[in-house]
Amino acid sequence: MGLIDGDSFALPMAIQVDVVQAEIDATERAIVAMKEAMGGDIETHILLISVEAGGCSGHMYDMQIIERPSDISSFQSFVFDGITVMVHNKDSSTLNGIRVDFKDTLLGGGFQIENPNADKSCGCGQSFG
Amino acid sequence: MPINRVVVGNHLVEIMSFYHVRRADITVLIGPDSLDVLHSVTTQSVSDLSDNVSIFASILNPNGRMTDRILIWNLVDQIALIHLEGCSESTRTLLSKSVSWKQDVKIIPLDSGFSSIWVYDLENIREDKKIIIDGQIHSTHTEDGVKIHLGPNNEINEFESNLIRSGITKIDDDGMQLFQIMNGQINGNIVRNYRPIPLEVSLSNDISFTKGCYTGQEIIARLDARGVLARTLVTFSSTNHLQSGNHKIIGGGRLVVYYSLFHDEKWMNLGLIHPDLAETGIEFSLDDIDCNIITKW
Repeated sequence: MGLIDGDSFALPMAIQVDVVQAEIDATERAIVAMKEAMGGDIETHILLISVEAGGCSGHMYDMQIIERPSDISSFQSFVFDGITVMVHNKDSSTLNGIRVDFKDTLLGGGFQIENPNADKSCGCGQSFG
Repeated sequence: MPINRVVVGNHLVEIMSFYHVRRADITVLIGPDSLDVLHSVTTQSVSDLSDNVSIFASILNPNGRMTDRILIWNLVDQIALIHLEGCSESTRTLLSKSVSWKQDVKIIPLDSGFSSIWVYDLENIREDKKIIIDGQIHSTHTEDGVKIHLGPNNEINEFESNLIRSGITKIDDDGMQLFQIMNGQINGNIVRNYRPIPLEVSLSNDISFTKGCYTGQEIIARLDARGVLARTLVTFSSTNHLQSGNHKIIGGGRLVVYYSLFHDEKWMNLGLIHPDLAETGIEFSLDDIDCNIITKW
């Protein structure tokens, strides 16, 4: 049995969500890499960039290729040479101004995100805050 | 092993039961992803926390310094948190920012209407941290002999009346502060003003060293790997009152004083000092004030 019952669920919640109209950029290398990753699914799939809690500095990026959502009212869309990139409104303030790049190196390579909103990152570079 | 020492009628009384009431700083999380969110932001491994079990965890900033210490209660369909006094707002903000859009977690502050009673009773130490429910009151134990009861105010008030009737003493803020000085315990005021590192203040039990990344983990892992701390928590006496804050030790080194309280014809203090000076019986001086280490925590 929980501490509060169903009637108490209407209590005010502690939620802080700042929604902004985000701007996202991607380098030529990143666009080429996105196209390779998506193969022939450019019309039916999108690249979703999200922010999740975790890592030494508080937040981590998550990038997934998923089927284009049927309800996109909570997402913001960006098109790069036919590829659709989406971010959720909840992540818009954190991801506003990011630049997606791709580094073709064996160590620490792959998609990289430069984020002007991140004022700190951990030693391994996977986490930001 | 902590020592129960409280002041009753100007006398230091040892090994007795007493209680302290906390009227705010409670949060409830509802939703299937609640433990995952807590796992990602706290120092403990809680994603698989068993039902009806409680555990302490610290919340750190990216520099490894504490912003809160929470007691996490897994009440199966809800997760209750008791924060350090005055530290709940920053933690709620952190939690709300940490819930991804894919996760289902509602964060409900319970700063009015709910309270907790902390009963200190060394003679009845229990190892298990199982949560017991009686009516609307949820109860659990800590490993150092503290029994914590959490519930709505009306039930807690009735519970408090029963404690008084059974002869258990209510401790006031000064008494609680003396208890914390004598037992090496930090509180919300210390965390807000000094942002200690948990390893410095004897809270390594709050930390899982195997869980992987959490905010501040990089610093904690580095300190743990080196095995050397720059400062450690001590209880010490002094011949005069010490202002909270930094002090220069004659002969070299620094002392951070958290609290200074007059008791038993001397001043009792809680603070941080270099481990080389932290052994029981070591004497040092700050200008014209002589100090003596009582306990290294």
